[in-house]
Amino acid sequence: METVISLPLALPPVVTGYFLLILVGRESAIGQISQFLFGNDIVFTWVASAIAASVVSFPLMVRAIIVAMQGVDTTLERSARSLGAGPIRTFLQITLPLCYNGLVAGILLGFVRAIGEFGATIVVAGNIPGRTQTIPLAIYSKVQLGKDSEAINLIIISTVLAIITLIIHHWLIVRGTRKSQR
Amino acid sequence: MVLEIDIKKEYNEFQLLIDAVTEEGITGIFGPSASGKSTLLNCIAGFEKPDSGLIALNSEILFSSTGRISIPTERRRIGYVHQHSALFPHLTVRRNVEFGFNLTENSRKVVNFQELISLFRLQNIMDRGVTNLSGGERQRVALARSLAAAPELLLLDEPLASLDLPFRGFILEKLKEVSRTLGLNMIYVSHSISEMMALVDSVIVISDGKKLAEGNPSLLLNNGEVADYVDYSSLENILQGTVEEHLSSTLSAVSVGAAKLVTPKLTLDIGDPINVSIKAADIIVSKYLPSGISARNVLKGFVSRTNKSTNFTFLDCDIGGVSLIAALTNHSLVELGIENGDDIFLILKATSITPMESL
Repeated sequence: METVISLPLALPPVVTGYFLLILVGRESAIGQISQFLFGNDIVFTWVASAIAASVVSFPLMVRAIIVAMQGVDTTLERSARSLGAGPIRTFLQITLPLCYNGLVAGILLGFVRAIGEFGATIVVAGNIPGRTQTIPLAIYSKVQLGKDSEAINLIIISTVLAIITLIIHHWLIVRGTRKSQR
Repeated sequence: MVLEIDIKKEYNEFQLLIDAVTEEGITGIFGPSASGKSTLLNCIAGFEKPDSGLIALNSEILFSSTGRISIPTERRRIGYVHQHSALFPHLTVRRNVEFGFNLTENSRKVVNFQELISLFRLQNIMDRGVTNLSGGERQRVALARSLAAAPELLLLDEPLASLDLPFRGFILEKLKEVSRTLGLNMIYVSHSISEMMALVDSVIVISDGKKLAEGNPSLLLNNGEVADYVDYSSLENILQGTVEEHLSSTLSAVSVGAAKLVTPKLTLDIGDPINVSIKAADIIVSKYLPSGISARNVLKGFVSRTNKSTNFTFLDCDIGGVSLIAALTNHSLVELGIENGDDIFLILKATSITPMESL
């Protein structure tokens, strides 16, 4: 299970994209269902780029969340159980609040990775301006066409977004560690 | 019969194989570290599953490998106090204590919330976070939290191990009080012989996953097999007394039973209860009344029992109805020629008596 979830992390994103193309492509079962229900293909739509971004960033997020949850002292969870709390209540009232910072940090990391997705997106969703073109794809196109001055705005936006995310991520992790060590 | 255990659990090279029955009151589980004490507690609490066997509390089966029964922890009604308190760090003292209280049906509650708070003297720290509490305060909160959930059995895993001496006195006193007034049965795990002698009604000695001995706690002093695992140098007498008077700027007096002990200056008021600790090895035994001696305490009594182990002898001395254990080397015993029933004098410096002033 963990191998399957982590696979997109190790694979070249283009390969992940290729697999997704097979999975949701026109000939696939999912593609057929989509055509039947919505009269439309999935590939080369915004849905495909969302799927690509999710699949590629998912393992990063899941791993960060697993680490955060494992960081919660098991004796606290055991104490809650011995005080009469069932597994669900223990999770909601003890585990979740104690790993909350790590959880949000994981989601943030996944989000920023998703925004930056390139390889899988271009394979499964293409690079259609106004439809499936994401920030990195737009930067790529503009640099290719020599419109560096137009690309620079997007580059600045991406960089600022990345820096802000990492600062918040770091702050959450430090605060979370302090909370669980007290 | 309170708790019935007959379990087997193996992991790696280690095998836990315990067959024991506990009675009403406080049962001690004594053994060196890595002897399987914690695993045994974890199995009783339901944190771990034995490979096979049976665990029953008040005749209700909690675990049975043949009956394929394993009641989850939250339905066992077994409290657990951890060595490091394990308080919920994101909740206040109040919310910690309320946690189990609110999950308990009203009909099962044995103490009311306010009584519990005043019993453990938590009134002034109720709305504080738990992260800045002292070790003694944390353990008081942990005990109150466990009792709030109205357990039928309380497991205590070395609850005093990380506390300083003054705090230990208060907790020991409260455990005795709770056991007596609520009739709550407890299992007390420790490798401190003094805590065993001061608190428990009976003891089970565990070594290397097996039961080595069981019975009256005095077996810790006179069972040859157990002797190897006991750190006798740390054996203390923990005595309950009352502050009687303040003698000078450096000395006070505490009455324990009919005996009066001169101790270092106390800050408590006259009439206040207090526990004092006296190391067995700090007591000098004499057959004759000494004279011209600087020690502030000379107590007359008689030997009610001699417990001989490999190198040491422990004299159970009766001092006006109070039992005090003095440790001697076997060599001294032979030279003094002391036997059961002999009159003796125990000599103690005031500084050998450590007050366990609580809070």
